[in-house]
Amino acid sequence: MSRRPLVLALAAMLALGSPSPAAAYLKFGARVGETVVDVKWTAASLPYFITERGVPGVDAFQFRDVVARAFATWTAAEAETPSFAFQGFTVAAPLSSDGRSTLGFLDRPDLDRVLGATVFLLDGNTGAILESDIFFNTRFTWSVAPGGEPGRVDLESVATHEIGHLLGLGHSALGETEVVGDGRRVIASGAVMFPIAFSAGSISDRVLQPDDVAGLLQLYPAPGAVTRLGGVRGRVTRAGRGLFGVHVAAFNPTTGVIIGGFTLGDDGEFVIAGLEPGPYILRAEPLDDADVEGFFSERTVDIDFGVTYAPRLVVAPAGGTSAPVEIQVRPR
Amino acid sequence: MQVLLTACLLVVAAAHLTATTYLPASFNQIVAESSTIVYGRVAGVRAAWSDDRRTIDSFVTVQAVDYLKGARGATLLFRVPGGQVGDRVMVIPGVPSFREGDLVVVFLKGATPAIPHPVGLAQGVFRVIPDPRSGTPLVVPPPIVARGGTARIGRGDPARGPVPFTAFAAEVRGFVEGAR
Repeated sequence: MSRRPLVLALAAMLALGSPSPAAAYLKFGARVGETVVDVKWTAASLPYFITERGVPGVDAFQFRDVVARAFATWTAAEAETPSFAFQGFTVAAPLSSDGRSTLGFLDRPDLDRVLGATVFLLDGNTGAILESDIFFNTRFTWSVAPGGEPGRVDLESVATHEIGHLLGLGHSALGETEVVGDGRRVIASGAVMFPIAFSAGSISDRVLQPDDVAGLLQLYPAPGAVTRLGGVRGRVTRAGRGLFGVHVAAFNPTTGVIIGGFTLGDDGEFVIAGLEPGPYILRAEPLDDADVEGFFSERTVDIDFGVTYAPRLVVAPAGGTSAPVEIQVRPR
Repeated sequence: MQVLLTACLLVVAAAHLTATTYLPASFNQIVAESSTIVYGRVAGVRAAWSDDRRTIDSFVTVQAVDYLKGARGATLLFRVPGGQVGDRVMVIPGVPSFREGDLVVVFLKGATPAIPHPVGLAQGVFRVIPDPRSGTPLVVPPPIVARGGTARIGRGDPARGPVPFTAFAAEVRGFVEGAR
């Protein structure tokens, strides 16, 4: 039997017939043999090192402090995440495959347009994480100014996003872009885990949004949250057939909060958990404005349909999930 | 109700402007930054440790069907970070992965003798899939506006969707020739 571990969306787990229901947030999995395992930390504490290297405007000590704040942002959320323990500085750069999880600056001219990235080294037999490094590309100018600096990328914002990946979260599709002149820019986003960078100088991604926390709770559930929060579930179909990779946004008209998810199997089913109890308006939309590769590996997604709303309000009950709702979409 | 929800979504979202990881490129930027744009079928993928054994890269061989910019020959090799060597797997979320047989259009950066890489990683990779009814190769194009134009990119826009590869190729060549 060939073994071909790959990064997959959780979708793969469903496609392979996992018996356990799964929420619709994207998280990472690795295929081991015929099964897919979550790429997530199981230890209570995660030791990490910082590369002893600065860049203009950011020295290694400032880098250490910013990273600590970004870790604290995630650990402060209502979830049972591992604790993160700074072990010291190292001369080793990120991506050193040395068994240590290392964060630091790295010159990667080949990864043009990539501000930072999280890299996992896995055991190909078990899917266990051996280490996870995060690098920040020195091709960009960075800032640690409390209020941000025009023209400079906010290190804490990018670190917060990348640590979300390190925890096992995939990308969120809660965001919108526009093309202006010769460029493309983000005009709105509802998640730190939205993959596209906002303009340099923005510090918005230092703060988690409900979508981020909902995803985190899926990976690291806290008992209190499980009983307090609820979820919605349903299926997106076209001509009676389930669709894969449909983005479903759950909008709470009372609080204004939006949390997104995806249909993650050929049956078109989705579950969006981590919701405050109450009524939700559900909207299914095609992922046709994004780089799908940044969301799903190995799969193409269904996009031949228009934005469609659920036929009724769906109520998320505390400690449970709603009755299923079917969202029937039509070809464009 | 639809209008109301759309308005609510925009208002709420606009109050929280965020995003990170990579800088988005417009389509004409992707075309301009590409030294080679190839349409072809993946003939093989091989992963290897870097010379210093620090990282794993995957080397993708493409059997070229057509070049939309910068022809390189019947086959072409490019690389993406990550891959599996033995029992070690290096994965980088958001980096495109390839399998033998995949039909793709790849926008590549890097001049010979360097091994090129996709422009902006996932931003420079487009899957080609056959129309389930006619078999016509289809591509989902990125948001495209004329040079100097402005357009908000909404999901489910009826004017957008999969297009035949030939139409996509003509669009790309239009940018290459500076016609747009």
